[in-house]
Amino acid sequence: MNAQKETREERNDPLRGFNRVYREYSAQVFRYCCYLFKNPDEAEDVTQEAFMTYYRYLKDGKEIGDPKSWIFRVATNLSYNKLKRKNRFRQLVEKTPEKFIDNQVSSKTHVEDTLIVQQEQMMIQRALDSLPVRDRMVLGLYRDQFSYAEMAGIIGVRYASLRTILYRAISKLEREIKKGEI
Amino acid sequence: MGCLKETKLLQYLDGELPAERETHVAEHLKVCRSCTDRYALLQNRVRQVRKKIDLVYPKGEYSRPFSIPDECPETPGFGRVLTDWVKNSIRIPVPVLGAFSLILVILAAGFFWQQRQINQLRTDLAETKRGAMLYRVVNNDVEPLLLKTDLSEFKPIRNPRIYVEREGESEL
Repeated sequence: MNAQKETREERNDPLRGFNRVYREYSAQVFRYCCYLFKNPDEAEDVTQEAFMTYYRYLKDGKEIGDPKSWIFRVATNLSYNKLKRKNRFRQLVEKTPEKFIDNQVSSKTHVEDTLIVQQEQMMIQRALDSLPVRDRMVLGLYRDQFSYAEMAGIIGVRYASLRTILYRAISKLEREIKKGEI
Repeated sequence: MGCLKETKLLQYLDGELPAERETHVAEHLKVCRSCTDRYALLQNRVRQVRKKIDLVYPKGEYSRPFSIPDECPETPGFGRVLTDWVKNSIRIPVPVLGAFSLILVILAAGFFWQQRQINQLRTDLAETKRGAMLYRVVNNDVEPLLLKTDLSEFKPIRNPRIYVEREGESEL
């Protein structure tokens, strides 16, 4: 009932819907950007800019059918441009801040286990860093349980090519991880 | 039906195949041992990859409130988009840009100086009304210096005075 009322009110005033969308997806968009940038400040900038673009669209009276995919697409495009620029000028690679990698090892676990997990995280991160940006994006979205159609829309490829792109990205990541293990 | 490609198996695994094709794949997997093995292997691979990405995927919370500005900035116009694009895409180091601008300024100054000289000569010519022309001797050949000067407005005179420049010296 509440949801229905909310939707009706949103239809009258689209800007009301913005708060709900922001509440629901901002954290997810932010985590996705963090995964791409490994730098929370940049990730926050992109998240804010993506939502600002969404807000402007609503203010201009435009309608967006699937806000989640739309915002992810905007964030992906913004990130893609930023990352491309970064690669071009070969900026220093930032290290992943520890607070954004979940500490999966509880304090009770042995120190050695912590080290092993940290080492594995570093290895995976290195493998992910060596992948092309698009592959990294696809893998992040795949992990986030997006459907193929949504992923294709977000990264801007044809639906038919997505399964190939995804399968190749998985294979590449496996290969890179294996390389790191040797 | 032939054996299935990995990409199709992946699509099947993710439940992304249309119902009709899904049935085909399911039936094929029942009868084809090779595909069943590959499917099991793929399932395992995907599970492992998801787990690995999960291990590095950020899990931090994001609770920054989005403050809607009272006056939301308008959608940037063409000029703003263009300047932003130039700023973002053309990033020339400052010394190079400085040197380049300096060269441009020198060239422009040279061009204007030349124009000024020509204009000066034209004015001189117009003032004297004598139809004097400036020539230069190059390889014992005389070539006019003011090719662009329109002399049609001057009346032809019998013995025009000719300035000849020879190796830096001007003769009359």
